[in-house]
Amino acid sequence: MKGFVRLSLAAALGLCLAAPAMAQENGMSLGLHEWDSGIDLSTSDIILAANGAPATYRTAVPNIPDSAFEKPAVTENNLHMYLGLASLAMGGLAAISVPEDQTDLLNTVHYKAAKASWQLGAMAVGTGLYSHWDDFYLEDGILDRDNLHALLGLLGTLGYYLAVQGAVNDYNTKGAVTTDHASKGIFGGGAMTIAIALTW
Amino acid sequence: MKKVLLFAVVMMFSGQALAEDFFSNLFRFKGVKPMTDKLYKDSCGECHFAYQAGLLPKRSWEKMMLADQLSDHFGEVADLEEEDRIAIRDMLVADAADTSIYKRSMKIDRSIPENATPLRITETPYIKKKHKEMTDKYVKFNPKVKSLINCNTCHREIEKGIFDDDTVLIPNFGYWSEIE
Amino acid sequence: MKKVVILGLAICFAPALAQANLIPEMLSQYEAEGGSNFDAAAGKKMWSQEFASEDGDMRSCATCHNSDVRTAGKHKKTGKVIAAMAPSVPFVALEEGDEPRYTDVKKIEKWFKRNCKWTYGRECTVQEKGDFLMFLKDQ
Repeated sequence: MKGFVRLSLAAALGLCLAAPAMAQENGMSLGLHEWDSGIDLSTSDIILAANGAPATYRTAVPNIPDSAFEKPAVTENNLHMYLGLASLAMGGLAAISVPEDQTDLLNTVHYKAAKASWQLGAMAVGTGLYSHWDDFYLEDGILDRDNLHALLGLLGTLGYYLAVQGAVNDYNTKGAVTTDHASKGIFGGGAMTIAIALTW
Repeated sequence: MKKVLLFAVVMMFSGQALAEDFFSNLFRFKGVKPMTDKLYKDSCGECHFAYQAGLLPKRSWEKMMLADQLSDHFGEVADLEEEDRIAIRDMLVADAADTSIYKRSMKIDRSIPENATPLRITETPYIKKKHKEMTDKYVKFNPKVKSLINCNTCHREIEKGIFDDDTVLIPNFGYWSEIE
Repeated sequence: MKKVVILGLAICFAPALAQANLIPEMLSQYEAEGGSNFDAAAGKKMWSQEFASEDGDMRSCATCHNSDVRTAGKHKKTGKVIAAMAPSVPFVALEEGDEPRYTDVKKIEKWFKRNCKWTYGRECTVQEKGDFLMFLKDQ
């Protein structure tokens, strides 16, 4: 019994919260329906005819009701965002996973994360340039947030890449990796952080 | 126990949406600052979308909110009670584009020549530049859009101050990210 | 327990109940300010009477509100739908935050001021405002 009371209470509450929203939706569609069948469509026909515009797009148009907007889960924008965040996260992982001994370096989390960080960074730069090309205008100057974001993102990726290459070179020429490459990695992480923060 | 359960249910319904908004906008200064003031929405939003203060610089709002400017507000009479007019003007000036840290506001302000005082948001260079691809078929001849002044017909997250292109859904055409 | 549920339901549907219509209060207010014998016929006549604007077009209340006050109007310039003026038409919120007509004195006065100036080029007198409300009251 107790369970039932609780359940119905919860249901009542749910209804309570949903009812105004539902009422509003009904109101909305009512209003829009009126809008659709009213003068507007016919005037648009007249305008279209008068301008000789091809009427084809009117029939091919998907009829999406105004209330149906849902931000798509995967877009170029958020793909770019996730790649950048992942690159930063991998850089952080590399920073906290410095191996203590130098056996089997290629199989350490440190090396794998560092490599992933520059590769993800490169992909982030690529998707950013592709989907936000229209946000860059050189004449806006280097202090423009979007321009600075692009520059720092590129430098961050470059920093990650040079850090990895520096370590690999060390290993190949001296037989052991020194901590010299860390500064490039830290620079990369800093640049990447600021880049993301600027347009967050 | 009962109380705790009830509380949990209430929180679940009302809290979820709030929390989502809170976290997705935490430290987010990418768009323009959202405006939620009731007086502002009631006074200006009755006729048109209640444009955020961060869409024009201070000097523009000061000019627009002069009493005789409001009597001829782009051809309409938009008189306000004197106290409301002052309150709204101060609100707009406080969050105007030229003192904002929000990215779009800064870009709008930087695009306006120093000696210009635009009153139409659609005539600021940044907004113009960003709507270059919005040809007549999407706007002017689209009965549900008609003009760029109706920002909110396409920018579906405008209430949160977000103008990203993946939040654009053009009536009669669909998601901008799919048309492009 | 039952009482709690009933109370909860009452609270949650309370906002849906109609708010008081302020027309009678407004009429006595206008009377106190010098108006008298408010006349629905005069208000009705004024409603559709056209005036030439500075731009040369003809304007009346009906331009945006429709001559039949029981139907929704449309703003001349923006095309925005304007809810019907008649109190008998059930209230439907077209947008978030919409409130029923005649429930806010400040709003009534604001729109009298703006719309009289737009239509007649001057503010309305207390008598005219009373006539309008008298006409609209029973629609």
